[in-house]
Amino acid sequence: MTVSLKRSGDGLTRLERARPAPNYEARWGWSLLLPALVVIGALSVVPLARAIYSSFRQTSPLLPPKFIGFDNYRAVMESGAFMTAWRVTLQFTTITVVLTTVMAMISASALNSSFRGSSVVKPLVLLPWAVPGVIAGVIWRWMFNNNYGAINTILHALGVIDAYVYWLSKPGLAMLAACIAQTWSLLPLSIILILAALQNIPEEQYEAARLDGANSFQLYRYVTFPHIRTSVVIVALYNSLMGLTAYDIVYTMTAGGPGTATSVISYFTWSISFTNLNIGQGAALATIIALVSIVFIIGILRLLPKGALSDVD
Amino acid sequence: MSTRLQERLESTARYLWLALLLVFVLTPFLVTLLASLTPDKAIVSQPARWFTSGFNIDNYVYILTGKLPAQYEVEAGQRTMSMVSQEIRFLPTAMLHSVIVAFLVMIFDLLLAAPAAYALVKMRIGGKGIVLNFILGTRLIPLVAVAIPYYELMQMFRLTNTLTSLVIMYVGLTLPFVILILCVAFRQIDRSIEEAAQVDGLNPLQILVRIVVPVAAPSIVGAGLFAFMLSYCEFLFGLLLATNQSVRTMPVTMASVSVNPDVSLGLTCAGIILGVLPALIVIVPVWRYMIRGLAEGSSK
Repeated sequence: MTVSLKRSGDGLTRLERARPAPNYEARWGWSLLLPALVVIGALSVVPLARAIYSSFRQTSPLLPPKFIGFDNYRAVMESGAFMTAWRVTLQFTTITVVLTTVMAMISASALNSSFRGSSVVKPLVLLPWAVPGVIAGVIWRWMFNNNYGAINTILHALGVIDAYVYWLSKPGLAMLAACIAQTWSLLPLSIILILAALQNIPEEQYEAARLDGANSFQLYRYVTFPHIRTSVVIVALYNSLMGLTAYDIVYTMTAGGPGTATSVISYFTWSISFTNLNIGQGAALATIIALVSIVFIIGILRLLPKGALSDVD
Repeated sequence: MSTRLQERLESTARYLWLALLLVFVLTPFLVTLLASLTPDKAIVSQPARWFTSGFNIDNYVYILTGKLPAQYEVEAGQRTMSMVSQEIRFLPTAMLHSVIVAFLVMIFDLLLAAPAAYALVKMRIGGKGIVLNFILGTRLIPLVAVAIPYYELMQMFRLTNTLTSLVIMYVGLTLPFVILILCVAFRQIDRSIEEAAQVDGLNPLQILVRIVVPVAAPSIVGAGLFAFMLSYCEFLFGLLLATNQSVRTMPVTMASVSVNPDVSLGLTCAGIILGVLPALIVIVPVWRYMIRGLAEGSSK
């Protein structure tokens, strides 16, 4: 999904002479662009600056506000819950990114050709995309319910399990369940993005490779994969961001439990800010999350082939 | 001979994977629908009696009209049935709030994004690469990081607990995506059409309204509906900025209902099915117009 604003080498036609002066165009251009730019700037730069500002201030409801340097950062990092929350978040993110990306690659390949029923299957696969995360959490909480959940009922009826599994009461299983719910929620968009890239591969390249005697694996490795690599990286990037900032699904599905087994970092931030009402510490934590996300993003962007995103001029 | 065997193997593997994928994707919807139509007792008993206890639409009738489901009247002696999920009766109103907000966001997004995308794609202005990177970069800021400042800002303007605050927020969240999609769509429009219009003396705004918008209409609809869907589904800021019952959105209401022990599983599930319906309806046009536009656009 790259955007190129460059005109594809059409040269300047004789109509070029009819084009108005650059000044006129620049004036119009900026006045068309400005409203959107102001709205986006006001709603992103301003709050972000404000968050960083309050992260250096004492903002407890009981004490007078004052500048306290890195004390909020220190307090947040020294709390025991901080490291637990990061461990949980990184586990959650790693599992969901790998699961979603791999499943999306396989699914997109399976969907990439017209087979009988493909026009029905594709929209059906998209359905979870329209389900808000909180509702996905509610649905999967009922799926995994210890006593009457659909998964227990189905597995029991099929004879796979003898006794009902207490999915949401065991830390490891609860984490797995939350990852499955998140994967369900993220899979449709991931499939769509990879499928869009697959559909752009020219058929001739496959024919040429086949003539050279390439087998299925080689076709995928040397023809398919280079074309979808950018999309796969974008999917991984998107899913990482969603994992690092996951909140909705955990909120309704497990409420961070059992114990702290699924207390992701966003959930922790939320409770510091709005349950403990310590907005300064919440902001410090949020700034740390933003920094970690940026590191993650840069790391993943390095996987992109050279020039994949640079045609944005 | 061996290639034919291989082809057959591949197609079998394809169908097998797709079957598994559909089971994974659809089972949650199907069991939710099932639970919404089956008496609660049959679902929560162990082992469950899913298909042998009959079906009814009492839960839906209750949410939409307030007529108590028959099973509650029977048990009314045991539980205080007046408490039974009053909360879920707010769902239709909450859905209305969400639809209004999402619709307004869609309109404002398109009004702001179409000129911006037009300027970015079709006009010679300096530094637009930086502008585009800035626009997209703002979406990389984690929402929790800006949640509190947003709240403080809205408080400053006395906009907490209004739908207006949500519209403002969601425009900020969705606008970058809409601009990106429209940039891709506008790139596909042949320059010669606009140049002819320029010769006719139309200014850029007139060209945008009379020529570019009609030509790119499908993508514009797709992008708008995408913004609609994102806004309709948003939860975090809905929870933060609109907690009053009078302005609650659908996801916030459903989250609250889901932790309310007085709301039965069947009612919750019926609420889920009703609640996701508007988003499910727009998903096919979103896919048709927006995704195909992206697929074609990125190949150029």
